[in-house]
Amino acid sequence: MIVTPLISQKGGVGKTLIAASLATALSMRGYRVWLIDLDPNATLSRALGISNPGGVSGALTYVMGLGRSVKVFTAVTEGGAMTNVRVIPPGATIGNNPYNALPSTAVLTSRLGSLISGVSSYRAMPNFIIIDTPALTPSLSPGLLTAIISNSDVITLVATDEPGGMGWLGKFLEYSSTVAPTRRQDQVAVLNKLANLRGAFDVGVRYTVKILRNPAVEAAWRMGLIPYLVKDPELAQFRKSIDELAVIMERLNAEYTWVGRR
Amino acid sequence: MRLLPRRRKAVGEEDEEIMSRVRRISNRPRIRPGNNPGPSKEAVEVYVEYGLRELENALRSLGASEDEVREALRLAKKTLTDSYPNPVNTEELARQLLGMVRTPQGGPRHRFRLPWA
Repeated sequence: MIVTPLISQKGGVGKTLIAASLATALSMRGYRVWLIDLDPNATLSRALGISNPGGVSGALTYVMGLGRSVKVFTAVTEGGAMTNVRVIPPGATIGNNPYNALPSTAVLTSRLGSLISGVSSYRAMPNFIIIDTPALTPSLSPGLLTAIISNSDVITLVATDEPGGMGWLGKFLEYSSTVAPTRRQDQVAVLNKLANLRGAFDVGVRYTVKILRNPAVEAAWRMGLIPYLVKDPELAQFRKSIDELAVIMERLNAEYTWVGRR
Repeated sequence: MRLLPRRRKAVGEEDEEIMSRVRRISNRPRIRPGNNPGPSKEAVEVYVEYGLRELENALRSLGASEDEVREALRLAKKTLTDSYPNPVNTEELARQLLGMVRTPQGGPRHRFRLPWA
C-alpha cells in the first residue's frame, strides 16, 4: 500500500482533477483506492458525488481535533458507483476555514498518521491512499505540509508551465528531503497544462508524466465529469498520460509492498 | 533545469475554447467504471520478483538447503502471482513452503515410484 499526496504550491494546476482521474484509472485496474480530501473547497468530494462534504465529520475536522471519527463515502460517477473507491471528505467548508487555527506540527503529523493507519487497517485493505491538498507552501502552512510529507510514501508534484507553476519544485524537493531524511520516499512529477511535450525536464525526480493543455479536459471537468471516463479523441493524450501515471503508481506500489513497508 | 516552452494563448481565448467543447463533450459516450483492464504486467512482475527475493532470505534463515530453496521458490511463484497486490507474510509462507518441500507430496510420480527406481 502506498500513500501519495498531490502537492503544488500554486492553485489551479489540476491536483484535484488528476487525483480523481488517477483514482478512477487505478480502480478500473482492480485496486482499492481511498481518497482523503484535505482541501476545504471539497471539489474532489463533490466531483465524486458527495453532496454535503462540509456538513459531516471528515479528514480536516479529524486532523484539527474537532472529531474522533470520519465519515466514509463510496465514490459515485455519472456511470454509477465505483465500489472500490472510497472518499473521506474534508468536513469543513470555506466558511469555517480550519487553517486559521491549526494545531502544532507534531500534533498534525500524529493525527494524520493515525487517520492513515486507521484507513490502512480497514477490513478491505486499500492499495492506494491518495491525498488531495489545497495549494500549500512551506512558508504559509508549514505544519500541514510537513505532516503530509512525513506520512507519505510517494509525493506526486503537480506543476505547470504557467508563470509560477514550476519554479517552486527545486526548493520543495530540498524541503521534503529535510522533513523525512531517513525514510524511503519517491517523487513523481506531473507536468500539467503544457503548451507542448517538447523540452527537457530534470530536477532529480524519478518519474515524470506530461499532460498537454487541453480545453476538452477543462470542459469535462467544469461539467462535473471525470475526463478520464469520457470517450473523445481530444482526450486521448490525457487518458494516455493518466494511464502512464497509474502504471508508475502500480509499479511503486509493487516495490513498496516488500521494501518500504509501513 | 531548462524551462519548457511557455504558452502563447490569452485567458479569454482559452475560455472560448472551453465553452466550444462543452456541447461536444456532453454528447460523447462514456467509459463505464466497470470496464476493467486489470493490473499492468510490469507491476505484477516487480511484485513477484521482490517477493521471491524476500522469500529466499526467509527460507535461508530457516535453514533451507539450495535444492529446497529452488523448489520452494518454484512453488511460490504462483502463490505470489495470485496474491497480487496484497502483502504476504513471507516468514509464514516460507515455513509452509519448506514443510511442503520436505514432505513427499504423493502425486502420481511418488505413488507409483518403486523403491529401487
